Amino acid sequence: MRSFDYSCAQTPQEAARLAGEAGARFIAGGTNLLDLMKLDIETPGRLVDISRLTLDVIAATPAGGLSIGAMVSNSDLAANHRVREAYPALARAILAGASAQIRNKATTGGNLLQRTRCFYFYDTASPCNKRQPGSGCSAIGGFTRIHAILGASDQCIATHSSDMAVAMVALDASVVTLKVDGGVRRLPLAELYRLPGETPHLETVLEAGELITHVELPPAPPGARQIYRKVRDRASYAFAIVSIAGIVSMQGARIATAALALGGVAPKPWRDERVEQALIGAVPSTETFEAAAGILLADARGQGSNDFKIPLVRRALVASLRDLTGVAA
Amino acid sequence: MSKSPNTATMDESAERLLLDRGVQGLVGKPVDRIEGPLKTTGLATYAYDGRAESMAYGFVLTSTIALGRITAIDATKARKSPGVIAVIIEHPLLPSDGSSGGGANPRVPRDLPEIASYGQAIGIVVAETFEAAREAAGLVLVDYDRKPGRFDMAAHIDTFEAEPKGALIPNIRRGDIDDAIARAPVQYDETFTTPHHFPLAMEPHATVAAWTGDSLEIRSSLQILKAARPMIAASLEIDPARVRVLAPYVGGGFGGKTGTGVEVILAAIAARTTGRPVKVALTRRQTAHLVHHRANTRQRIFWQSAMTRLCHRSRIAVSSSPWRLVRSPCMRVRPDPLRRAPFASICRLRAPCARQVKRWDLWRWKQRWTSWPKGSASTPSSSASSTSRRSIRCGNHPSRHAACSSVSKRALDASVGTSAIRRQVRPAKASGLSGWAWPARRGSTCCSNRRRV
Repeated sequence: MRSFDYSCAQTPQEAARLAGEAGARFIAGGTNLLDLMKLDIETPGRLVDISRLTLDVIAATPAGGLSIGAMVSNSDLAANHRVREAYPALARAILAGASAQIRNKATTGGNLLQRTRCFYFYDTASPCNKRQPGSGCSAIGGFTRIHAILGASDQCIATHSSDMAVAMVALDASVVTLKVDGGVRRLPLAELYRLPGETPHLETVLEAGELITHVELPPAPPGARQIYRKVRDRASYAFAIVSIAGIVSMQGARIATAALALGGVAPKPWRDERVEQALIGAVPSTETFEAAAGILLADARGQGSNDFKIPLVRRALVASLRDLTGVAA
Repeated sequence: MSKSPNTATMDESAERLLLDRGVQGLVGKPVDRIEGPLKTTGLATYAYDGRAESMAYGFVLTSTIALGRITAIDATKARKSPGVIAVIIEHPLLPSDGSSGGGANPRVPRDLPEIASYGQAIGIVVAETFEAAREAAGLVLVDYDRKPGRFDMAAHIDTFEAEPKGALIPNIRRGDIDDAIARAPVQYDETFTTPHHFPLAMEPHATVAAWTGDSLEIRSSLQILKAARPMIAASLEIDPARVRVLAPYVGGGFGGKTGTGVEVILAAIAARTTGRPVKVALTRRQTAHLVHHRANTRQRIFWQSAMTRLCHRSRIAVSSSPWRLVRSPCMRVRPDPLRRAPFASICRLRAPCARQVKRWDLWRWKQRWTSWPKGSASTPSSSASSTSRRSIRCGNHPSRHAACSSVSKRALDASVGTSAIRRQVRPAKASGLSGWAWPARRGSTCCSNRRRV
């Protein structure tokens, strides 16, 4: 672990300014960053501590949604009564991740910006384009059980590890940020993440020093069912092999709204509007769901030891849609 | 359960095994551990809690290839790193084969070492703090001459060494297998795999080594102190009377702390070299690489049954240490087990119809199944480990009729479509046994799974 400078920011503006310098990183809960620093994967020259900022508030928005401060802990967010009532998929997704101790410490903003758990990203003896741009990808041709089948590139096949972000993407969350120059930006969470392409080391569209201050949720679709289904190798304390956040409402016998996001299968929470369009207006049936899964997986590509994810996603999606619409198996 | 002559039951022990004799009578009884209150209140001082005046910290240097040899090591940057006291790569007492040392350790004159497994210990960095030692370890530049290995048992299963040299228990062949095949109406053929199992206890593998003159004090996490003392002494080439070993508490071992770990010997060497007490702890990742573990296995079992005879052939593959027959101290990725490691060297199978089975076995049920032919390659009492402590007991008549064991009986049922396992059964002549090999590779091998052939 390298030596680094430490600054404790008193205001968001100060935090953004301090973090704007080269080599600086924000630190909130530290549940991911500190691990990576110990292993010399992250080597920041300065840590800007944002844990003293008053960004730990969950409040209703005038539009009827929810504004979540970036420093709200995962535990507090999952336990919040508004979240549990209106956004149960989010509460379940959070509780499906990590351990109680980590959720107590981990924050909303930090969860969104956590790094991948790709084995080769963590093994500093292996080449990794994300860790060391241009060095090559060790995962391709390696052990790829936890790797992507959608949205990957020939430079990187790592997945995004968050459960929370998957539910938030399905819930149409937006991220509110503060830039170094004081400007405020609001962008859909789904647009926060980049696909790896030729630059897998660039994971988000955030600029240097740009601080996530809030996550905003619009009102949940009335009468919709929400689920979060997580398939993993261990019943607890394991990252998703495949996860699905689904929010579906019905009008009569037909699907009125559908929002589906997947985790564990792509470099970012994966949402495909073509799938949702295929479902909206349709009469729910296993055939409809299979067709939707076919659209979702049309471009899916396995890497060998993760080939199983393609049929697994298909089955998990169909099962989730059955749960959401009440169609019997 | 009624016991007709043909009823096979598995509710009684076939014989008293070593495990039975070793029973302490404690299982299921409320017994207070004497250190329980200390451990639950945080007062127990584990090995890593050990302190000594002017203590330094060691970090084990490990290989980043699985097979080959080191051609050059450049520790210049590491030695200049802040807080570094020593980088010990070449030392006459460092085991050259990556093993953990101990009495049986061959002390080959240490040139640049051969690498036989990923994460093999190749030296130690000593610094003022753990963090400084770890950072410096990352600055040691190692050049390798990498050799291609065969790391996937399933992929290379057909090219293994037929008769491993030095295996503790050689292959066993008995009876006329072709004759049995010719007569058997049904077959049962399955491949079973078990994954690697790593002993990853809560308490890390840690050691504080301190020399006073020629006397060494080791404070470590060790499960068997009596064995540790002579092993440490032999590895360091000193009188056992000069070694004092302290291990007041063990925070979990799962068998991983029964031997003397590589970190014990490295800590002692580092303390000797630097003249300061040295504390070494393995990281989680190093624990998987450097501590012995239970190797993965793959076993194909084949039964053929007629009412009067039973043919059992079993082929077992175990990935094991490349340098030891039984101990497998640090194999996470197997370098070349197919050439160097013995197969079927440590496994003992107990199952219905089998006493002890190595790769090929066949016997006829003409005599009591508990009796063994003279000159058998291994005796029933030769090993304490077994996959099942229960063996089959065939009613009151361990005779020809009793040869129809539960499995073979089910197989017989299956042949007329009455059993759930009928898919595993096929006419005997359809398969033939010439060139009997491993079934084609299927799916991932990283989970324990049951394969149907």
